[in-house]
Amino acid sequence: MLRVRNLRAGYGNVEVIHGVSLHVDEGEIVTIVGANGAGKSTLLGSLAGLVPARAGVAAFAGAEITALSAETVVSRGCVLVPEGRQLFADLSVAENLLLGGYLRCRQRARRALEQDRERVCGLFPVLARRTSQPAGTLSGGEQQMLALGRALMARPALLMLDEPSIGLAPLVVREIFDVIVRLRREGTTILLVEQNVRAALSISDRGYVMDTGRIMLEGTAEELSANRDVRRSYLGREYRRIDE
Amino acid sequence: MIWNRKYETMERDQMDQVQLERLQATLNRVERNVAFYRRVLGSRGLGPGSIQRLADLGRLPFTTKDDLRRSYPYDLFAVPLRDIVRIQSTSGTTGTPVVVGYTHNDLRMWGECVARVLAAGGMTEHDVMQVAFTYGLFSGGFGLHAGAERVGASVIPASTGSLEKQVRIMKDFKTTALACTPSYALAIASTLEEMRIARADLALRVGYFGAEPWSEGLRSLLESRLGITALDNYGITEVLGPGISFECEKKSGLHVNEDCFIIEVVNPSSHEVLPDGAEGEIVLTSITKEGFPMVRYRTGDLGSVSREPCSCGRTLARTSRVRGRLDDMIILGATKVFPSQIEEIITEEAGLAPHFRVLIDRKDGIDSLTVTVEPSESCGAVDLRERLARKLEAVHGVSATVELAPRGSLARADEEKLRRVVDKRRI
Repeated sequence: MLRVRNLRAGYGNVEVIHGVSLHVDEGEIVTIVGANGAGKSTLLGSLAGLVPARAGVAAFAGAEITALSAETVVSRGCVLVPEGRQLFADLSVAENLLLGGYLRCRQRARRALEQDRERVCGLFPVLARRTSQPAGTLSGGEQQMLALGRALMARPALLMLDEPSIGLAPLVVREIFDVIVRLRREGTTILLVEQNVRAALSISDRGYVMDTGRIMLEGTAEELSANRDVRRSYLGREYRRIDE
Repeated sequence: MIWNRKYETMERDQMDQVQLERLQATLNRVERNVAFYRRVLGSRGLGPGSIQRLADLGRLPFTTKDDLRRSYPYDLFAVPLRDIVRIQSTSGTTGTPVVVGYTHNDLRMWGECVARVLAAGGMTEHDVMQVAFTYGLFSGGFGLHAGAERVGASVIPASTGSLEKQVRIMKDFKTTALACTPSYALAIASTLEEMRIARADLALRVGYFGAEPWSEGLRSLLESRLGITALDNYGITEVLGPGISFECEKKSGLHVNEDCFIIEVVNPSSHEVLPDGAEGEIVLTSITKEGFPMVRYRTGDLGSVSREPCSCGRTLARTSRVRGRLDDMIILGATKVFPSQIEEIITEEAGLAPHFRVLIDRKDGIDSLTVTVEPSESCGAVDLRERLARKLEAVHGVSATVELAPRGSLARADEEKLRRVVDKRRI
């Protein structure tokens, strides 16, 4: 479904991702793990059309998306849930959700949009309870659910999530991840970026380890979990000698 | 039977993507973690990111046996020793041994690769597998063991040693699958005959033979004497052990586990990459190994590669059967011949045991080649010598003297590496 080759992207003079290749097959949950500054958010941003790619190719559902605008990428079915939620704090929960389906409003899909909003509220009952509340007054976990719900309003085939667990209590993280698993069961393909390696790998099929803008390792979730080097080398601590 | 449908029947363009990703990740890792690779890549200005497509692999430097010997023991390991859970090594008969290391994931991957080898010969949990490779530092024993265990067969870690014991196990434990070198299999066949054990007394069905080149003639012999299907498989300790490539029931080439290894064939002298179908030196790059990754390792084995689809359903590229090791090539003036080619001619002769020795000598500046064979019947001895000599000349341009040895006199393959060729010119 998603095939990326040699992607390079960055900001201004600084290149942040240096030739990244990866793929996500339909129905998979794939996680990219890595420390702060590894380039994970830049990678997702580049795929979403928010950060222009400088080189390389990204193809989604067989068609190239590398140079497309963000809204075109969304219309193709590839939707990003950005890091830090990025909700419209002053707008209500309902309004935030509706905005997620903005592109579809133009297609006169009001009834379908309503149905989707109900489906999202079914996934996240708390959103139904707080439907008229300003988004900014929700708790961290509720905001994450709203951000996810908003993305679902665009009916994504591929959902990209940037650090959904950040700043959330472990129990809430568990809830969010349970929803992600449920979404996959219902047919959405998931690309997840996470610092919380254990939680992410526990629900993933495969993963990639990123470090300073490069992919260092690829494998099944089981393989990555069994690789202690993943934690040690790529998520912080260095070793110096072979027999340390 | 296909063990892993996902990777063994993967579409070509999908496999290319998987290979490219894994190759890039491997290069990133070795550049960071292995001083040798950081140095050789750096000296050619080949940083990570230099490989954008699989064909770019040709720009990377080779890794040779000497590089491995010089790194003895652990300099090429890419993870800390505490993450290495298994150490194996080559025998060191031709120099400093090469030491290799495996992480948990490497061991799991190894088992998976060998499971594919065995499933291709129909192995299931109902089989009783006798592993008659030496268990120890040599990777053959443990490799076949892990694969058979993964498949769920009942594994007998027989190792090598007394042939009589080996045969007794085979009969009493009802072995259905045998894994060993082809020369050891031949010795087992002879021992069975000596002990007057009939094929009907055995449950043997399939043989997985490797670790040395062997001819089609020897295959037919083993199949008829042991009453089995005999399948070839290829591997080298430096890159994995057994499990790199394997024959399917079609016996038309060995499928390479391409999701784990990238195979190239290069001209043995110029080292240029050769097109599919051309014979040359097999070069292997590991793309999933963590502990001991290898980039463009020159194996010293001669073969060719084909990407034509196989009628078994697998899309994995195939290599030809290895004709021989570059080192084993017998060179006399303009004549070049492999021991396996001599074996082919000998196994075609009905009146000969499939054992032979080659002695190369030089007297007064003239090279000579003597092939000693062992007739199993004693008729037409003179005829036999002349006929064989003529055949060797006609088929391989080899001018040889043929000597006859008494029945049973040529040594059996009880030891690990059979030394059939002695070249006195080197001494």
